[in-house]
Amino acid sequence: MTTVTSKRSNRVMIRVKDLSKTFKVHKKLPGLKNSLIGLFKREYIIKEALQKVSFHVEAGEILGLVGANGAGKTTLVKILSGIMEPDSGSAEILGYTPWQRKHNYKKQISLLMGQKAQLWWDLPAEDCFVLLKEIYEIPLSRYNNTLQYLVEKLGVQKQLNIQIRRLSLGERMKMELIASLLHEPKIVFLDEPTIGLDLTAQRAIREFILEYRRSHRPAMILTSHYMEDIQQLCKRLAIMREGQIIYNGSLEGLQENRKQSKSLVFILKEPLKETKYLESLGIQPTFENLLKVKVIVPKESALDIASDLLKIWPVMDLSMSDDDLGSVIESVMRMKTP
Amino acid sequence: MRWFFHVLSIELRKTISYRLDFWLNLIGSVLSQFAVSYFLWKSIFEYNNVAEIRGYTFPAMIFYFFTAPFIEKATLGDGETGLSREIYDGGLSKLLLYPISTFGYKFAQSLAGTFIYITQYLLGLLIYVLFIGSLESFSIGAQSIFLFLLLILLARVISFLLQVTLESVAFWADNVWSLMVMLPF
Repeated sequence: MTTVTSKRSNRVMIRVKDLSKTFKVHKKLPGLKNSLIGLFKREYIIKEALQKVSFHVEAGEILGLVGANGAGKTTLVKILSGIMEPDSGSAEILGYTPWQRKHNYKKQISLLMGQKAQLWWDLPAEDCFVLLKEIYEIPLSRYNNTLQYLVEKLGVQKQLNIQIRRLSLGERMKMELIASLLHEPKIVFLDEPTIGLDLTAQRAIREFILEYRRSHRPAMILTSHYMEDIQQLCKRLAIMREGQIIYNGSLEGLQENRKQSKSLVFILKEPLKETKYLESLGIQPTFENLLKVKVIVPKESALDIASDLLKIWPVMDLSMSDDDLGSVIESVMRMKTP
Repeated sequence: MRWFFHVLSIELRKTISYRLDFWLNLIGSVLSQFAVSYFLWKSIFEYNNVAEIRGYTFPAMIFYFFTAPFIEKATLGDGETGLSREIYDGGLSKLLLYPISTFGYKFAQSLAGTFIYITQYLLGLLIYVLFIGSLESFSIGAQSIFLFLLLILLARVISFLLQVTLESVAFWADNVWSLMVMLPF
């Protein structure tokens, strides 16, 4: 694999073109009879996890990757980190093809999976870090400096010698971050780094990621279901649906949509019996519970629709606001045809 | 290759991180192994009122029946390396990301188990010398100890290779438990 040579290419650290991946999974039909049949004959489904995905990420950039569960985000991250091989397409990261799994490539990347602990459960964090120092062949002085920097920034000095399993979820995630960044990777994949954390811990992790991006300028890909993560960390966003990227552009561009729509939240006296009126307008309501309904409508017709719904529905309370980012992404995922 | 010894050391530290479990396991397995062979063969020798059975004296018989299970454990480990489980639950991803040999890492992990079993065996030997008889009749020297350890290491390598070969089937078939059960046969 050749190294990247042009001036523009030097800035682009991750370049992905037409990446596709399918999985063959067997159908598991319910019941004992079907289980017995399955012993001799199986039906398979081809699931297209990725379909011609293309994008690039530059140095110092954090690309937000969002989409519903099963949209293909984790598959994409696994392919780019070299764990999985795609069926077709190409990816060039730091001049390497990830799935060739070259030693020098692995030394320059990092993958943090919020849902999977990477550290050794029964050991204190410092023991884990020493092992990682050996695995990544980090010189002692560099290891000490980096560890000190990361520990100070994340405020976990006192927790270094406590067993990982005895740490709180937030502290554990901070240790996972240190473990991921100890070898100062040029490419960082963050797969839901704030999942399950309380608001304070989420904020601390976000502030740290921003600080790390400023000081080290790695190319980062962040997947998250928390819109706060995306809004505060990413300037660019790729929205995935059923293995395809259906939006790849700036967050501001997406927020233009936000200004063009309004969010109506109705508190009802009793559950709704029908939503024909909205269906006739092609609008899909979102039920937060039986008595709370959210409707995203075009800004210019918001008052008319609200007025009509007040007449039809048993409304107790109504609030109107600019559409939030999550709803905009949701509507892009629902409406836009790739 | 320094990472290899660190993985080995980490695995040993994991084993000794729970004191009660470590001591119970260490003493319990040695004592139970020892007590079973001692009382079983003591009753057989006394019932038959003989000094030897097929050329084995009572101390030699105890020595053999005490030694064999530990050698088996030291060479076979727990019967699997955990690779198939990691393939199944996705834990293997972590190892694949590291710039080291995945099989090398797994081997270092399994070698830690061998160290633990050898330690248990040495403790058992001490009990044997204190309560049953000396080791003089077995003509144990530096050379035989070296060969003993070398053979255990090589046997561990062979059993590890067999185990990971079978466990790798988990890449195609999720569950390989029955294959692993068949391995000792």
